[in-house]
Amino acid sequence: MVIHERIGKRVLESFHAFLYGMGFFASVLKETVVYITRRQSRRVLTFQILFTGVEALPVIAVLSLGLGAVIIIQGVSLLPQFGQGQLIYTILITVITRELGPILTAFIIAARSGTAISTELGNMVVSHEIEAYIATGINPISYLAVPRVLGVTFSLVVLNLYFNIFGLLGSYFVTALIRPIGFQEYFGNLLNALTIVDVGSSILKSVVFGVIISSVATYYGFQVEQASTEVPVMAIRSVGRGFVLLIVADAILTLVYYL
Amino acid sequence: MKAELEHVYFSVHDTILLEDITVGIETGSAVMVMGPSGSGKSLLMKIMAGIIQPTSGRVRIDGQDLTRMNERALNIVRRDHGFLFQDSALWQNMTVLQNLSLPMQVHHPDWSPTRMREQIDRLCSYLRYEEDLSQRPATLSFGERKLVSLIRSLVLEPELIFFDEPRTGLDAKSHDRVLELLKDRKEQGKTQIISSHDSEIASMIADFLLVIDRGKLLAYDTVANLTRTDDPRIKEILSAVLDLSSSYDSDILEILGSSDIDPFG
Repeated sequence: MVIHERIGKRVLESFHAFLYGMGFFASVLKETVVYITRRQSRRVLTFQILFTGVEALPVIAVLSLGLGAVIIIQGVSLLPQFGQGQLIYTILITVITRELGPILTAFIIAARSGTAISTELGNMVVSHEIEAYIATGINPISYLAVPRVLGVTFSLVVLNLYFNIFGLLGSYFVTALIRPIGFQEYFGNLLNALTIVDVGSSILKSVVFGVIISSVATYYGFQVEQASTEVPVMAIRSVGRGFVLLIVADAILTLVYYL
Repeated sequence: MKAELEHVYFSVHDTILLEDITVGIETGSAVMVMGPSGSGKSLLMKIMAGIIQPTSGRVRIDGQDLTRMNERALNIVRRDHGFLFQDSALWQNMTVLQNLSLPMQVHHPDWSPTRMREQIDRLCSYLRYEEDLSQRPATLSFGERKLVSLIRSLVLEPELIFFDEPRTGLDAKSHDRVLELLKDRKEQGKTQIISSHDSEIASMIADFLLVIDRGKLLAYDTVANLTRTDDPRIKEILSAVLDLSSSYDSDILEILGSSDIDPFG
Protein backbone atom coordinates (compact mmCIF):
# COMPACT_ATOMS: atom_id res chain seq x y z
CA MET A 1 0.00 0.00 0.00
CA VAL A 2 1.44 3.36 -1.02
CA ILE A 3 1.89 6.05 1.58
CA HIS A 4 -1.01 8.30 0.57
CA GLU A 5 -3.39 5.33 0.72
CA ARG A 6 -2.15 4.53 4.21
CA ILE A 7 -2.59 8.12 5.33
CA GLY A 8 -6.04 8.26 3.77
CA LYS A 9 -7.05 5.00 5.46
CA ARG A 10 -5.76 6.27 8.81
CA VAL A 11 -7.65 9.54 8.44
CA LEU A 12 -10.85 7.70 7.59
CA GLU A 13 -10.40 5.33 10.55
CA SER A 14 -9.82 8.29 12.89
CA PHE A 15 -12.88 10.04 11.52
CA HIS A 16 -15.00 6.91 12.02
CA ALA A 17 -13.62 6.50 15.55
CA PHE A 18 -14.47 10.14 16.29
CA LEU A 19 -18.02 9.72 14.97
CA TYR A 20 -18.41 6.48 16.95
CA GLY A 21 -17.16 8.21 20.10
CA MET A 22 -19.61 11.08 19.60
CA GLY A 23 -22.41 8.60 18.98
CA PHE A 24 -21.50 6.76 22.17
CA PHE A 25 -21.44 10.00 24.14
CA ALA A 26 -24.83 11.06 22.71
CA SER A 27 -26.23 7.66 23.62
CA VAL A 28 -24.90 7.99 27.20
CA LEU A 29 -26.51 11.43 27.53
CA LYS A 30 -29.82 10.17 26.16
CA GLU A 31 -29.86 7.14 28.46
CA THR A 32 -28.90 9.36 31.41
CA VAL A 33 -32.12 11.32 30.96
CA VAL A 34 -34.07 8.04 30.77
CA TYR A 35 -32.24 6.68 33.84
CA ILE A 36 -33.00 9.74 35.94
CA THR A 37 -36.67 9.80 35.01
CA ARG A 38 -37.28 6.05 35.28
CA ARG A 39 -37.78 4.19 38.55
CA GLN A 40 -35.21 1.41 38.52
CA SER A 41 -32.52 -0.18 40.64
CA ARG A 42 -29.82 2.23 41.82
CA ARG A 43 -27.51 -0.58 42.93
CA VAL A 44 -24.72 0.09 40.39
CA LEU A 45 -24.91 3.85 41.07
CA THR A 46 -24.62 3.30 44.83
CA PHE A 47 -21.58 1.06 44.41
CA GLN A 48 -19.96 3.56 42.04
CA ILE A 49 -20.40 6.43 44.51
CA LEU A 50 -19.06 4.23 47.29
CA PHE A 51 -15.99 3.25 45.28
CA THR A 52 -15.24 6.59 43.62
CA GLY A 53 -16.38 8.96 46.31
CA VAL A 54 -16.08 7.35 49.72
CA GLU A 55 -13.00 5.19 49.18
CA ALA A 56 -11.05 8.08 47.64
CA LEU A 57 -11.55 10.34 50.66
CA PRO A 58 -8.28 9.50 52.50
CA VAL A 59 -6.02 10.11 49.49
CA ILE A 60 -7.85 13.37 48.67
CA ALA A 61 -7.57 14.51 52.29
CA VAL A 62 -3.80 13.92 52.45
CA LEU A 63 -3.18 15.56 49.08
CA SER A 64 -5.31 18.62 49.75
CA LEU A 65 -3.93 19.20 53.25
CA GLY A 66 -0.37 18.97 51.89
CA LEU A 67 -1.05 21.26 48.94
CA GLY A 68 -2.83 23.84 51.04
CA ALA A 69 0.18 23.89 53.35
CA VAL A 70 2.67 24.23 50.47
CA ILE A 71 0.74 27.11 48.87
CA ILE A 72 0.54 29.08 52.10
CA ILE A 73 4.25 28.54 52.87
CA GLN A 74 5.22 29.81 49.41
CA GLY A 75 2.72 32.67 49.55
CA VAL A 76 3.67 33.83 53.03
CA SER A 77 7.37 33.90 52.16
CA LEU A 78 6.97 35.66 48.77
CA LEU A 79 3.99 38.02 48.86
CA PRO A 80 5.06 40.26 51.79
CA GLN A 81 8.27 41.02 49.84
CA PHE A 82 6.06 42.82 47.31
CA GLY A 83 3.82 44.32 49.97
CA GLN A 84 0.92 42.13 48.86
CA GLY A 85 0.49 39.93 51.96
CA GLN A 86 -3.32 40.30 51.85
CA LEU A 87 -3.38 38.67 48.40
CA ILE A 88 -2.66 35.31 50.00
CA TYR A 89 -6.40 34.71 50.51
CA THR A 90 -7.24 35.48 46.88
CA ILE A 91 -4.39 33.24 45.75
CA LEU A 92 -5.59 30.41 47.97
CA ILE A 93 -9.11 30.67 46.58
CA THR A 94 -7.89 30.96 42.98
CA VAL A 95 -5.39 28.13 43.19
CA ILE A 96 -7.28 25.68 45.39
CA THR A 97 -10.93 26.33 44.59
CA ARG A 98 -10.76 27.30 40.94
CA GLU A 99 -7.79 25.30 39.69
CA LEU A 100 -6.14 22.62 41.79
CA GLY A 101 -9.31 21.35 43.49
CA PRO A 102 -11.15 20.34 40.32
CA ILE A 103 -8.16 19.26 38.22
CA LEU A 104 -6.21 17.33 40.87
CA THR A 105 -9.32 15.56 42.09
CA ALA A 106 -10.09 14.71 38.46
CA PHE A 107 -6.57 13.32 37.92
CA ILE A 108 -6.85 11.15 41.01
CA ILE A 109 -10.26 9.85 39.99
CA ALA A 110 -9.16 9.29 36.38
CA ALA A 111 -6.18 7.25 37.55
CA ARG A 112 -8.14 5.40 40.19
CA SER A 113 -11.75 4.97 39.07
CA GLY A 114 -11.19 5.52 35.32
CA THR A 115 -8.84 2.54 35.07
CA ALA A 116 -11.08 0.47 37.32
CA ILE A 117 -14.13 1.17 35.13
CA SER A 118 -12.28 0.41 31.86
CA THR A 119 -10.80 -2.78 33.29
CA GLU A 120 -14.08 -4.00 34.76
CA LEU A 121 -16.08 -3.35 31.59
CA GLY A 122 -13.29 -4.77 29.41
CA ASN A 123 -13.26 -7.99 31.42
CA MET A 124 -17.05 -8.14 31.16
CA VAL A 125 -16.76 -7.94 27.37
CA VAL A 126 -14.19 -10.76 27.31
CA SER A 127 -16.33 -13.02 29.51
CA HIS A 128 -19.41 -12.27 27.34
CA GLU A 129 -21.22 -10.63 30.27
CA ILE A 130 -22.01 -7.59 28.12
CA GLU A 131 -23.51 -9.88 25.47
CA ALA A 132 -25.56 -11.47 28.24
CA TYR A 133 -27.02 -8.05 29.08
CA ILE A 134 -27.83 -7.46 25.41
CA ALA A 135 -29.31 -10.96 25.03
CA THR A 136 -31.58 -10.34 28.02
CA GLY A 137 -32.81 -7.08 26.51
CA ILE A 138 -30.91 -4.90 28.99
CA ASN A 139 -29.10 -1.96 27.41
CA PRO A 140 -25.49 -2.04 28.73
CA ILE A 141 -25.19 1.73 28.25
CA SER A 142 -28.26 2.32 30.37
CA TYR A 143 -27.45 -0.30 32.98
CA LEU A 144 -23.64 -0.12 33.15
CA ALA A 145 -22.39 3.15 31.65
CA VAL A 146 -24.99 5.65 32.93
CA PRO A 147 -24.73 4.76 36.66
CA ARG A 148 -20.95 5.00 36.35
CA VAL A 149 -21.14 8.39 34.65
CA LEU A 150 -23.56 9.70 37.29
CA GLY A 151 -21.64 8.09 40.15
CA VAL A 152 -18.25 9.44 39.06
CA THR A 153 -19.64 12.92 38.31
CA PHE A 154 -21.49 13.20 41.61
CA SER A 155 -18.47 11.86 43.52
CA LEU A 156 -16.14 14.27 41.76
CA VAL A 157 -18.26 17.29 42.71
CA VAL A 158 -18.37 16.16 46.35
CA LEU A 159 -14.66 15.26 46.41
CA ASN A 160 -13.82 18.66 44.94
CA LEU A 161 -15.71 20.40 47.76
CA TYR A 162 -13.95 18.10 50.20
CA PHE A 163 -10.58 18.94 48.60
CA ASN A 164 -11.32 22.65 48.93
CA ILE A 165 -12.25 22.38 52.60
CA PHE A 166 -9.20 20.27 53.46
CA GLY A 167 -6.89 22.41 51.32
CA LEU A 168 -8.01 25.56 53.07
CA LEU A 169 -7.85 23.83 56.45
CA GLY A 170 -4.30 22.66 55.72
CA SER A 171 -3.27 26.18 54.90
CA TYR A 172 -4.84 27.40 58.15
CA PHE A 173 -2.87 24.93 60.26
CA VAL A 174 0.41 26.02 58.65
CA THR A 175 -0.50 29.72 58.95
CA ALA A 176 -1.32 29.16 62.62
CA LEU A 177 2.13 27.66 63.14
CA ILE A 178 3.96 30.57 61.41
CA ARG A 179 1.82 33.43 62.68
CA PRO A 180 -0.90 32.72 65.24
CA ILE A 181 -4.21 33.77 63.71
CA GLY A 182 -7.75 33.21 64.84
CA PHE A 183 -9.79 30.57 63.04
CA GLN A 184 -12.66 33.00 62.52
CA GLU A 185 -10.41 35.78 61.24
CA TYR A 186 -8.66 33.46 58.81
CA PHE A 187 -11.84 31.97 57.38
CA GLY A 188 -13.51 35.39 57.41
CA ASN A 189 -10.74 36.69 55.16
CA LEU A 190 -11.07 33.62 52.93
CA LEU A 191 -14.82 34.06 52.62
CA ASN A 192 -14.31 37.71 51.72
CA ALA A 193 -12.03 36.64 48.88
CA LEU A 194 -14.45 33.92 47.75
CA THR A 195 -17.11 34.82 45.19
CA ILE A 196 -20.10 32.85 43.98
CA VAL A 197 -18.42 32.71 40.56
CA ASP A 198 -15.44 30.89 42.14
CA VAL A 199 -17.74 28.27 43.62
CA GLY A 200 -19.78 27.99 40.42
CA SER A 201 -16.65 27.68 38.28
CA SER A 202 -15.26 24.98 40.57
CA ILE A 203 -18.47 22.95 40.51
CA LEU A 204 -18.88 23.37 36.74
CA LYS A 205 -15.35 22.09 36.19
CA SER A 206 -16.01 19.08 38.43
CA VAL A 207 -19.17 18.20 36.51
CA VAL A 208 -17.42 18.50 33.13
CA PHE A 209 -14.38 16.54 34.35
CA GLY A 210 -16.58 13.85 35.88
CA VAL A 211 -18.47 13.37 32.62
CA ILE A 212 -15.17 13.26 30.67
CA ILE A 213 -13.49 10.69 32.95
CA SER A 214 -16.47 8.35 33.15
CA SER A 215 -17.46 8.59 29.48
CA VAL A 216 -13.89 7.98 28.30
CA ALA A 217 -13.45 5.07 30.74
CA THR A 218 -16.71 3.36 29.77
CA TYR A 219 -16.03 3.98 26.07
CA TYR A 220 -12.61 2.30 26.23
CA GLY A 221 -13.98 -0.49 28.43
CA PHE A 222 -16.53 -1.33 25.74
CA GLN A 223 -13.82 -1.07 23.05
CA VAL A 224 -12.27 -4.36 24.21
CA GLU A 225 -13.21 -6.97 21.63
CA GLN A 226 -12.15 -10.48 22.53
CA ALA A 227 -8.85 -10.96 24.33
CA SER A 228 -8.00 -10.29 27.96
CA THR A 229 -4.70 -8.79 26.75
CA GLU A 230 -6.71 -5.89 25.29
CA VAL A 231 -8.00 -4.95 28.74
CA PRO A 232 -4.84 -3.26 30.13
CA VAL A 233 -4.18 -1.64 26.74
CA MET A 234 -7.62 -0.01 26.80
CA ALA A 235 -7.25 0.96 30.47
CA ILE A 236 -3.99 2.76 29.68
CA ARG A 237 -5.58 4.44 26.65
CA SER A 238 -8.51 5.51 28.79
CA VAL A 239 -6.24 7.21 31.34
CA GLY A 240 -4.01 8.81 28.69
CA ARG A 241 -6.90 10.11 26.60
CA GLY A 242 -8.76 11.14 29.74
CA PHE A 243 -5.82 13.25 30.99
CA VAL A 244 -5.48 15.02 27.64
CA LEU A 245 -9.20 15.80 27.48
CA LEU A 246 -9.16 17.01 31.09
CA ILE A 247 -6.33 19.47 30.38
CA VAL A 248 -8.03 20.72 27.21
CA ALA A 249 -11.37 21.14 28.99
CA ASP A 250 -9.68 22.87 31.93
CA ALA A 251 -7.94 25.33 29.59
CA ILE A 252 -11.19 26.07 27.75
CA LEU A 253 -13.21 26.56 30.96
CA THR A 254 -10.53 28.79 32.50
CA LEU A 255 -10.39 30.84 29.32
CA VAL A 256 -14.17 31.22 29.32
CA TYR A 257 -13.99 32.35 32.97
CA TYR A 258 -11.67 35.22 32.11
CA LEU A 259 -13.43 36.29 28.90
CA MET B 1 -41.68 -17.64 16.85
CA LYS B 2 -40.39 -17.60 13.31
CA ALA B 3 -36.80 -16.61 12.58
CA GLU B 4 -35.49 -15.67 9.14
CA LEU B 5 -32.11 -14.68 7.82
CA GLU B 6 -31.83 -13.16 4.36
CA HIS B 7 -28.45 -12.82 2.63
CA VAL B 8 -26.67 -12.24 5.90
CA TYR B 9 -22.99 -11.32 5.77
CA PHE B 10 -20.73 -10.62 8.71
CA SER B 11 -17.15 -9.44 8.42
CA VAL B 12 -14.53 -8.03 10.76
CA HIS B 13 -12.08 -5.69 9.04
CA ASP B 14 -11.46 -7.57 5.79
CA THR B 15 -12.24 -11.06 7.05
CA ILE B 16 -15.62 -12.52 6.09
CA LEU B 17 -16.94 -14.67 8.95
CA LEU B 18 -20.43 -15.34 7.59
CA GLU B 19 -21.24 -15.30 3.90
CA ASP B 20 -24.65 -15.01 2.29
CA ILE B 21 -26.69 -16.98 4.84
CA THR B 22 -30.36 -17.29 3.94
CA VAL B 23 -32.52 -19.51 6.08
CA GLY B 24 -36.06 -19.57 7.47
CA ILE B 25 -36.90 -21.29 10.74
CA GLU B 26 -40.55 -22.11 11.29
CA THR B 27 -42.41 -21.57 14.55
CA GLY B 28 -42.20 -24.53 16.88
CA SER B 29 -39.34 -26.25 15.14
CA ALA B 30 -36.12 -27.42 16.76
CA VAL B 31 -33.07 -26.62 14.67
CA MET B 32 -29.64 -27.99 15.41
CA VAL B 33 -26.80 -25.85 14.13
CA MET B 34 -23.80 -27.97 13.24
CA GLY B 35 -20.35 -27.28 11.92
CA PRO B 36 -16.70 -27.64 12.83
CA SER B 37 -15.14 -25.42 15.49
CA GLY B 38 -14.73 -21.87 14.24
CA SER B 39 -17.28 -22.32 11.48
CA GLY B 40 -19.41 -19.46 12.82
CA LYS B 41 -22.17 -21.34 14.70
CA SER B 42 -22.18 -19.11 17.80
CA LEU B 43 -21.89 -15.97 15.68
CA LEU B 44 -24.81 -17.09 13.52
CA MET B 45 -26.94 -17.71 16.62
CA LYS B 46 -26.03 -14.30 18.09
CA ILE B 47 -27.00 -12.61 14.82
CA MET B 48 -30.31 -14.52 14.75
CA ALA B 49 -30.95 -13.45 18.36
CA GLY B 50 -30.24 -9.80 17.54
CA ILE B 51 -27.26 -9.66 19.90
CA ILE B 52 -24.88 -8.80 17.05
CA GLN B 53 -25.92 -6.84 13.96
CA PRO B 54 -24.87 -8.34 10.61
CA THR B 55 -22.63 -6.36 8.28
CA SER B 56 -25.37 -6.69 5.66
CA GLY B 57 -28.56 -8.65 5.10
CA ARG B 58 -31.82 -8.92 7.00
CA VAL B 59 -32.73 -10.72 10.22
CA ARG B 60 -36.43 -11.12 10.95
CA ILE B 61 -38.18 -12.51 14.00
CA ASP B 62 -41.90 -12.98 13.45
CA GLY B 63 -41.61 -10.65 10.48
CA GLN B 64 -39.96 -7.82 12.45
CA ASP B 65 -36.69 -6.74 10.86
CA LEU B 66 -34.09 -6.58 13.64
CA THR B 67 -31.60 -4.77 11.41
CA ARG B 68 -33.91 -1.76 11.08
CA MET B 69 -34.95 -1.38 14.70
CA ASN B 70 -33.72 1.15 17.21
CA GLU B 71 -32.12 -0.09 20.43
CA ARG B 72 -35.27 0.26 22.51
CA ALA B 73 -37.41 -1.79 20.10
CA LEU B 74 -34.62 -4.37 19.81
CA ASN B 75 -34.53 -4.80 23.58
CA ILE B 76 -38.24 -5.58 23.59
CA VAL B 77 -37.67 -8.30 20.95
CA ARG B 78 -34.64 -9.65 22.83
CA ARG B 79 -36.70 -9.84 26.02
CA ASP B 80 -38.84 -12.48 24.33
CA HIS B 81 -35.81 -14.66 23.51
CA GLY B 82 -33.71 -16.79 25.74
CA PHE B 83 -30.03 -17.24 25.03
CA LEU B 84 -27.81 -19.78 26.71
CA PHE B 85 -24.17 -18.87 26.23
CA GLN B 86 -21.57 -21.55 25.67
CA ASP B 87 -19.47 -20.26 28.56
CA SER B 88 -22.45 -19.32 30.78
CA ALA B 89 -21.66 -15.56 30.77
CA LEU B 90 -23.02 -15.04 34.27
CA TRP B 91 -22.64 -11.58 35.81
CA GLN B 92 -19.71 -12.09 38.13
CA ASN B 93 -20.39 -9.11 40.39
CA MET B 94 -23.79 -10.48 41.36
CA THR B 95 -24.98 -13.48 43.34
CA VAL B 96 -26.77 -16.33 41.60
CA LEU B 97 -30.08 -14.97 42.88
CA GLN B 98 -29.33 -11.50 41.50
CA ASN B 99 -28.31 -13.05 38.16
CA LEU B 100 -31.67 -14.77 37.98
CA SER B 101 -33.72 -11.83 39.26
CA LEU B 102 -32.28 -9.01 37.15
CA PRO B 103 -34.06 -9.84 33.85
CA MET B 104 -37.39 -9.91 35.73
CA GLN B 105 -36.63 -6.71 37.66
CA VAL B 106 -35.87 -4.87 34.41
CA HIS B 107 -38.66 -6.25 32.24
CA HIS B 108 -41.34 -6.85 34.85
CA PRO B 109 -40.91 -4.10 37.45
CA ASP B 110 -44.53 -4.72 38.45
CA TRP B 111 -43.74 -8.27 39.62
CA SER B 112 -43.42 -8.58 43.37
CA PRO B 113 -40.20 -10.02 44.86
CA THR B 114 -42.28 -13.03 45.98
CA ARG B 115 -43.46 -13.69 42.45
CA MET B 116 -39.91 -13.43 41.12
CA ARG B 117 -38.66 -15.77 43.81
CA GLU B 118 -41.40 -18.28 43.00
CA GLN B 119 -40.40 -18.22 39.34
CA ILE B 120 -36.75 -18.81 40.25
CA ASP B 121 -37.57 -21.59 42.73
CA ARG B 122 -39.83 -23.30 40.18
CA LEU B 123 -37.10 -23.35 37.53
CA CYS B 124 -34.39 -24.39 40.00
CA SER B 125 -36.58 -27.25 41.12
CA TYR B 126 -37.39 -28.18 37.48
CA LEU B 127 -33.69 -28.35 36.59
CA ARG B 128 -32.79 -29.74 40.02
CA TYR B 129 -30.42 -26.93 40.85
CA GLU B 130 -30.02 -27.22 44.60
CA GLU B 131 -27.07 -24.93 45.40
CA ASP B 132 -27.22 -21.86 47.63
CA LEU B 133 -28.51 -18.94 45.55
CA SER B 134 -26.51 -16.41 47.56
CA GLN B 135 -23.23 -17.69 46.09
CA ARG B 136 -21.24 -15.78 43.51
CA PRO B 137 -20.78 -17.45 40.10
CA ALA B 138 -17.00 -17.69 40.67
CA THR B 139 -17.56 -20.19 43.50
CA LEU B 140 -19.61 -22.55 41.30
CA SER B 141 -18.37 -25.40 39.13
CA PHE B 142 -18.56 -25.10 35.34
CA GLY B 143 -21.64 -27.34 35.23
CA GLU B 144 -23.40 -25.38 37.98
CA ARG B 145 -22.71 -22.12 36.18
CA LYS B 146 -24.17 -23.61 33.03
CA LEU B 147 -27.34 -24.62 34.87
CA VAL B 148 -27.70 -21.14 36.38
CA SER B 149 -27.23 -19.63 32.93
CA LEU B 150 -29.86 -22.01 31.59
CA ILE B 151 -32.29 -20.96 34.32
CA ARG B 152 -31.55 -17.29 33.57
CA SER B 153 -32.42 -17.87 29.92
CA LEU B 154 -35.79 -19.31 31.01
CA VAL B 155 -36.93 -16.84 33.69
CA LEU B 156 -38.78 -14.59 31.24
CA GLU B 157 -40.54 -17.65 29.75
CA PRO B 158 -39.37 -17.05 26.18
CA GLU B 159 -41.08 -18.51 23.14
CA LEU B 160 -37.78 -18.77 21.28
CA ILE B 161 -34.56 -20.01 22.85
CA PHE B 162 -31.03 -20.21 21.52
CA PHE B 163 -28.93 -22.87 23.22
CA ASP B 164 -25.21 -22.72 22.56
CA GLU B 165 -23.77 -26.11 23.54
CA PRO B 166 -26.44 -26.72 26.20
CA ARG B 167 -25.04 -29.97 27.60
CA THR B 168 -21.30 -29.36 27.40
CA GLY B 169 -19.63 -29.56 30.80
CA LEU B 170 -22.64 -30.96 32.66
CA ASP B 171 -22.63 -34.07 34.84
CA ALA B 172 -24.70 -37.10 33.83
CA LYS B 173 -27.72 -36.13 35.94
CA SER B 174 -27.88 -32.57 34.63
CA HIS B 175 -27.18 -33.90 31.12
CA ASP B 176 -30.41 -35.92 31.24
CA ARG B 177 -32.35 -33.07 32.84
CA VAL B 178 -31.38 -30.67 30.05
CA LEU B 179 -32.44 -33.23 27.46
CA GLU B 180 -35.79 -33.47 29.24
CA LEU B 181 -36.07 -29.68 29.16
CA LEU B 182 -35.45 -29.65 25.41
CA LYS B 183 -38.02 -32.42 24.93
CA ASP B 184 -40.58 -30.58 27.07
CA ARG B 185 -40.11 -27.37 25.12
CA LYS B 186 -40.44 -29.30 21.87
CA GLU B 187 -43.72 -30.80 23.07
CA GLN B 188 -44.93 -27.33 24.07
CA GLY B 189 -44.27 -26.18 20.50
CA LYS B 190 -41.58 -23.66 21.47
CA THR B 191 -38.97 -22.77 18.85
CA GLN B 192 -35.46 -23.94 19.74
CA ILE B 193 -32.20 -23.25 17.96
CA ILE B 194 -29.43 -25.38 19.34
CA SER B 195 -25.75 -25.30 18.50
CA SER B 196 -24.34 -28.64 19.47
CA HIS B 197 -22.40 -31.73 18.49
CA ASP B 198 -24.59 -33.85 20.69
CA SER B 199 -25.90 -36.99 18.99
CA GLU B 200 -28.86 -37.37 21.37
CA ILE B 201 -30.05 -33.85 20.62
CA ALA B 202 -29.65 -34.52 16.91
CA SER B 203 -31.65 -37.70 17.10
CA MET B 204 -34.26 -36.89 19.72
CA ILE B 205 -34.85 -33.16 19.50
CA ALA B 206 -33.80 -31.72 16.15
CA ASP B 207 -36.38 -31.38 13.37
CA PHE B 208 -33.88 -29.67 11.09
CA LEU B 209 -30.11 -29.58 10.78
CA LEU B 210 -28.37 -26.39 9.74
CA VAL B 211 -24.85 -27.16 8.61
CA ILE B 212 -22.30 -24.39 8.23
CA ASP B 213 -18.65 -24.50 7.40
CA ARG B 214 -16.20 -21.58 7.26
CA GLY B 215 -19.07 -19.14 7.46
CA LYS B 216 -21.04 -20.61 4.55
CA LEU B 217 -24.36 -22.38 4.78
CA LEU B 218 -23.84 -25.89 3.44
CA ALA B 219 -27.30 -27.25 4.11
CA TYR B 220 -30.56 -26.65 5.92
CA ASP B 221 -32.91 -29.57 5.79
CA THR B 222 -34.66 -32.21 7.81
CA VAL B 223 -32.51 -34.74 9.62
CA ALA B 224 -33.84 -37.51 7.42
CA ASN B 225 -33.04 -35.71 4.17
CA LEU B 226 -29.59 -34.68 5.26
CA THR B 227 -28.52 -38.20 6.15
CA ARG B 228 -29.02 -39.06 2.46
CA THR B 229 -26.84 -36.26 1.17
CA ASP B 230 -24.14 -36.89 -1.42
CA ASP B 231 -22.10 -33.86 -0.42
CA PRO B 232 -18.83 -35.21 1.00
CA ARG B 233 -18.25 -32.18 3.25
CA ILE B 234 -21.73 -32.45 4.81
CA LYS B 235 -21.21 -36.18 5.26
CA GLU B 236 -17.94 -35.47 7.00
CA ILE B 237 -19.52 -32.95 9.39
CA LEU B 238 -22.50 -35.17 10.14
CA SER B 239 -20.34 -38.22 10.66
CA ALA B 240 -18.50 -36.41 13.44
CA VAL B 241 -21.76 -36.58 15.35
CA LEU B 242 -22.92 -39.93 14.03
CA ASP B 243 -19.69 -41.60 15.08
CA LEU B 244 -20.14 -40.43 18.64
CA SER B 245 -23.11 -42.69 19.33
CA SER B 246 -24.46 -45.85 17.85
CA SER B 247 -27.94 -44.92 19.10
CA TYR B 248 -27.92 -41.96 16.78
CA ASP B 249 -27.57 -44.22 13.75
CA SER B 250 -30.47 -46.35 14.83
CA ASP B 251 -32.57 -43.26 15.59
CA ILE B 252 -31.88 -41.81 12.17
CA LEU B 253 -32.67 -45.10 10.53
CA GLU B 254 -35.85 -45.27 12.56
CA ILE B 255 -36.81 -41.83 11.29
CA LEU B 256 -36.10 -42.96 7.76
CA GLY B 257 -38.41 -45.89 8.40
CA SER B 258 -36.09 -48.73 7.47
CA SER B 259 -33.13 -50.29 9.23
CA ASP B 260 -31.81 -51.49 5.87
CA ILE B 261 -31.04 -48.05 4.55
CA ASP B 262 -27.44 -46.97 4.71
CA PRO B 263 -27.69 -43.22 5.42
CA PHE B 264 -24.67 -42.45 3.27
CA GLY B 265 -25.53 -45.03 0.66
